[in-house]
Amino acid sequence: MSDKRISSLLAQVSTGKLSRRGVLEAGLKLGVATPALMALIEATPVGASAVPAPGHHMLLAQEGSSGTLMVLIAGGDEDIDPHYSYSTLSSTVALAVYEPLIRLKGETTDEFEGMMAESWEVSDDQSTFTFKLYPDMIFQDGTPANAQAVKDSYTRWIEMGGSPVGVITRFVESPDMMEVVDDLTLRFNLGTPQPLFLAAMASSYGPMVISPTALAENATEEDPYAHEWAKEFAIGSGAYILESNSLSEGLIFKKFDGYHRGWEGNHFDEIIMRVVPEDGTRRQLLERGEADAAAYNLTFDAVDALRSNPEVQVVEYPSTAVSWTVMNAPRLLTPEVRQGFSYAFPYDDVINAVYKGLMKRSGPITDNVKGADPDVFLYQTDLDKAKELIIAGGFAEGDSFEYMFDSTSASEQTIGELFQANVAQMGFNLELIAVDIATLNSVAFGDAAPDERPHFVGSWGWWPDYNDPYNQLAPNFLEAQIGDGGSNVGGYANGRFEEIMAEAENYESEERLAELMLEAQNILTELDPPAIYSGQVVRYTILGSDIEGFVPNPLYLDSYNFYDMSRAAS
Amino acid sequence: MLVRLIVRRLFFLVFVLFGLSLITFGLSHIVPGDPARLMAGPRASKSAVAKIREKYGLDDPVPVQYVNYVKGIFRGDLGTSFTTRRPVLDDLKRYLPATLELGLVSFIMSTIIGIPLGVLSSVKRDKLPDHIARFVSISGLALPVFWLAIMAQFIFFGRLGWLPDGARIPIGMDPPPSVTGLYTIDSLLAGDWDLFRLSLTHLILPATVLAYGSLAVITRMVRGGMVEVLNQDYIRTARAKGISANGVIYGHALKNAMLPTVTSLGLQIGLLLSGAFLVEIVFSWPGIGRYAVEAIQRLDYNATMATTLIIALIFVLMNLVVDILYLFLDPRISY
Repeated sequence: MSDKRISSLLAQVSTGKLSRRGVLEAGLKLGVATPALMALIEATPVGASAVPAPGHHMLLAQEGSSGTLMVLIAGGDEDIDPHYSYSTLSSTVALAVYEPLIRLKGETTDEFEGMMAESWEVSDDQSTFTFKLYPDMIFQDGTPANAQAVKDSYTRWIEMGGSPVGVITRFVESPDMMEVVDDLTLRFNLGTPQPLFLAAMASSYGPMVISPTALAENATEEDPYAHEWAKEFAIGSGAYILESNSLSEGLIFKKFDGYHRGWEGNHFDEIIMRVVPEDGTRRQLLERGEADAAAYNLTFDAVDALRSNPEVQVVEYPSTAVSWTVMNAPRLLTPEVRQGFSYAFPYDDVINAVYKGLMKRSGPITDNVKGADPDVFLYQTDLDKAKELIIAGGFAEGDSFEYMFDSTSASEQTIGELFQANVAQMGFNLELIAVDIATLNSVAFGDAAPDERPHFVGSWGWWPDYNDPYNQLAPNFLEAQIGDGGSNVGGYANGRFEEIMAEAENYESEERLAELMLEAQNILTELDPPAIYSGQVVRYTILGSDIEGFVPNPLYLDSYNFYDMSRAAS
Repeated sequence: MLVRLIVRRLFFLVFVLFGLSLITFGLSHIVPGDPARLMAGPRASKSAVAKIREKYGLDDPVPVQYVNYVKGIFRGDLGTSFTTRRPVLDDLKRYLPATLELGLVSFIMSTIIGIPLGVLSSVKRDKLPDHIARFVSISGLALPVFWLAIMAQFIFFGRLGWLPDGARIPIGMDPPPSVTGLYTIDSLLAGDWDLFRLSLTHLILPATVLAYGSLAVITRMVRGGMVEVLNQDYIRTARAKGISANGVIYGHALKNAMLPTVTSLGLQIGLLLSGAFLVEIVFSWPGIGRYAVEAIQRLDYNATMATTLIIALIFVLMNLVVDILYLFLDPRISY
């Protein structure tokens, strides 16, 4: 009897590739004993054929293992290099394969727990940070994951200058500021007090440690940082090994046996991130139990419907992201006009009818980010007041305004129409301009003069890379970010705000930061608003009803804590 | 004559592709947008965006970019995709077989169902089979392929669970060793019957949806041709001579009625390839249609150009095949 053929039969049974009849025929040919054959037939899903039975991957589960977790994604990522890419998916992948020194603890945005670091010490003046690594850690290629490896990896992050480089260079301008004290100790000598350094080191954008050996093996003269390799492959010290990565089909991860936390208890052996481009298909796969998870990639209507479906859990959590409509400050020149339009926005309709409650009123900084004003000024829809302010600002009844938004988003279309109706009720016209995302980005980040830009750009928003209000406000509202690829889309400038932000960039005490941010938020809302804030985005992750251990984090958007997750025993 | 036809067509093909490349390149660059910003993401710094622009030659003047692109084609280099960050040629090798397999099966389905249905419809004029064929034709022409795909998926996967939701084979399963790139054929060549059955089952829904529109056209064309031919004198003569009904239909009428249908078969290739753009999205089919849609959305000039040119090439070549078929169907035709 051939072991290989028996293994193949078992594999086909476990994946639902064989029907019961097929199992019987193959088993008899191989001379499998009757009791064993009957057990195999029992394990074969009824009607197993080309269509895997619901939850077929559960068959892979053995005692102490949760089998496979099937996650649905809308598309793959062409670049998963954590030191180069700035996408949500790449950071989700990074959190599975790689580890930072520390990460945010549970659902908090200001508490940390060790990943590669067993402990850390911060000097009194917060200018020196010393991390002690876990002993005997290895990368997935078997090489030691020690202090020198972390330094080498972060040196690459700094020197390569990829998109998220600012997360580290704000604090560590040069690799010389990293000191390998011993095999397990790495010290950052930052020179000046840096109270945000730990927050940055726990960001999902950048601080992942890649095996320097793997990088060196794949580096070439033209590509000394092995970016060409790292955009598709990954070798870290994380819990899961990236086994395959296909842009059109998805990613497959297998558990890393040498993971330093060990595999006691119940964990998934395999994670599959399957690419399913169509919203409706993702919903059907979740409803039929053929997929276990999907994060923020269904329509709001679908999420609303799934809330009452007992087969799934809809985990909703307030994120650090704020959604807003940009106002073209030079065209809507006076604060009165922008205040007026802020009063004209249909907040309740947008939150309830469009977002189905997946939005919470907020100012430009959410309540889970440092410096947020709990009593921030929030506009309420008041068309009489709005009209009065717009006319006081120099416009007349009958004037027309343009509102540009992403044409691929049905919800953005509805928001535009609701806003249009309010504007019309005041006696003005709002022309809706639906454009594809490329055009929208071109208008937003381009150098076109304010007159050539629309009065409003919808579908906009932001969240910080780490818990830092400066990181949330500076890219969007500082004058230096106007044009030439900057993200101050509305061309907003306010002298006092500039002064506040200059001080906030390198703040010296939490109290002072809080004072500065209170004033900044007052300017950006009540006094001189650059945007109409719809609110704090409530993100969601849909999970199968038997999935346990998922903990969302407001800063790790759409990510999963895969290692802590498991499938409940049935 | 045949060789002359082929040489002449291939000669003109060069001009067609050149013209098409110029138009596609011009159009894709007219669309406002910065692919470098799209690649870097909205959160990237200005310097990171500038770096990408330089890396991909996007800071060169547009005419220079075009000349560089054409030079690359002559070296067998279709450039690098901004979407996948891989050579476009490698992407085409990866995605094209999936579309060809889908298109081929759809084409076979629409032909082997459409022609007999058209014949039946013409022979049983104004009877139940004709009404059924008319319903199939009109619905096939009227229903948007995207809607049809979603509905078919909802019913046969979502509600009934008879067929898979999409993809070529379940993710995580090893594809057959690649010989042709067509999973059905490659799995047969590998002798893996289970995989063959799986890949065939995965094809059923997308191929049927894609075939439906073409089937409708073919059915109507065959019916129209047959109705006309069946009224001809030589058909009446054949019947008078006592030739069996099947002999008249298949031996005399169908061959002549097929000429316009053969023309439409060539055009159907274009319909199938353009329809694949939408079907591949709904059914998560990793083909060139989905690749092209993503390329267009990401202002991926090189990938957009390559997919346009490859589809045009297939379309022109298939029509050449149709013209050659004419010579065999009707020896009176000369080029």
